[in-house]
Amino acid sequence: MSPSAFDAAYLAAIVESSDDGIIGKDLSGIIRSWNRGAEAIFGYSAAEVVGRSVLLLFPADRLHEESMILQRIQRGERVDHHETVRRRKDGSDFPVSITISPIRDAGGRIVGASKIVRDISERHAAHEELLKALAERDLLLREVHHRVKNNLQVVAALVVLQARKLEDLQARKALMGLHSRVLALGLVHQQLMGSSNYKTFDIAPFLRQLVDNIVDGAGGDGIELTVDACPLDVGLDFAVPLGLLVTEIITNSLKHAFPGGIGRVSVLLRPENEERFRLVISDNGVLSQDGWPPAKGGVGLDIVGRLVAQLRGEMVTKHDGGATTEISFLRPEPA
Amino acid sequence: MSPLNRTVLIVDDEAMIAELWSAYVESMGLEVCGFAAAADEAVALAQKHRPAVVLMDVRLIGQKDGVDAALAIHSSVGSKVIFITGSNEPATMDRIRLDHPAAVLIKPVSERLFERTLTAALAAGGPAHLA
Repeated sequence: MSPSAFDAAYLAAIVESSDDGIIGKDLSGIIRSWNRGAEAIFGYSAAEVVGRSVLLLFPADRLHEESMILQRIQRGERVDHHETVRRRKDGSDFPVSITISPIRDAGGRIVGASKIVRDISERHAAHEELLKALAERDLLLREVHHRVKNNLQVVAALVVLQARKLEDLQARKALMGLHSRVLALGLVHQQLMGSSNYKTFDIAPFLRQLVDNIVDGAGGDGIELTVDACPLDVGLDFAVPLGLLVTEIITNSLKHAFPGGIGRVSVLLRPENEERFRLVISDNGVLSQDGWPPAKGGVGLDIVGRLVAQLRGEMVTKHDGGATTEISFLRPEPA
Repeated sequence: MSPLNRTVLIVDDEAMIAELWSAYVESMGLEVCGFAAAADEAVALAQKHRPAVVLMDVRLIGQKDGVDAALAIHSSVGSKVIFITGSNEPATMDRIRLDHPAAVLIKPVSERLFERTLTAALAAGGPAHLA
């Protein structure tokens, strides 16, 4: 056997044993060679298809692809890993990845093309499965947050129903304080329900709604409220202590600072530098004996101290024409 | 259309939430004519009691939601519908706008906001419309 004949036989053996379909066609799209892989993939034997148009393998809505492919081949270009759909002998369509290269004669003239066809049904099916599983996971996460939020609202409703039965004003106020705290937690889950990744959400609208709820719940019609927060993505671990902290501070302001029910409360969130943020909550109310900071032993102060620590923050309070609480904290780590 | 009664129908599949609305309604001196947790039940009760106002949750037990119930009540009874929903997501809001709600409240709802909204809905109904 001459060296070139040996090479040709060697190559033919490789082509013949390939699991991929390897098809030769001429420039008019007529099939000239058809390996065993192509037989297995398409279901046609070589005898059935050699001499016929490759369009035999195309679903009707893909026929336009052939002229595009031929144009590129005639320009000497390859088509690499083109993902499309082809049709088997039994009429069923299946996803394929096709690589098409020009075939040149000894003089370098393009005379046809080789098509390597890979059946990617399994990969497609696995991909579809994965997408389905992800969609199910999203639905489940959303549902969990929905349920948690609902349950917290049920707890909050029970607390209000209980409070309404009480004669003792102090006891009633204590229960309504608990009510605000439970709702702050519920609001975190409500934000997560509406977030795109079910993990993080922007703190700005959360703060706005949280403070609105507290002021509205406390009957603060005469309170002029400003919430001005920079965008900041936070997760559950950060939003829960922050939400509770803001609830304590605002509730305390509303309780002590405005005997006439008229006043201003503002919440401001700004980046302090690259790493830190500063939350400033201030009111223009009067300081009363039992005002801010709350008397030792009150649950409010204990809670505030623990929450600031949980956030790894630092808190400073000032009194000049009202009370100002500044909390500086590190940018929360991505959830 | 025959006149409506100065009563409120409460539609929410969460019993404790319904109970809270009921406490709020009663402290306004109004009467609750019934409770429903599913859309068909809500429509049947609304047709029976002809309440001036229906407090409607969106997610209910069963296939139909609060918007389905509200549309049916709107056309067959004419009660004012106040939606009280747990979700302010766009999809829910778009559904609610199919009906012509007297108001849309997002849970949690404070007692003050509840009272204001219910008072406004009753006033908008017009006294001629009420028995």
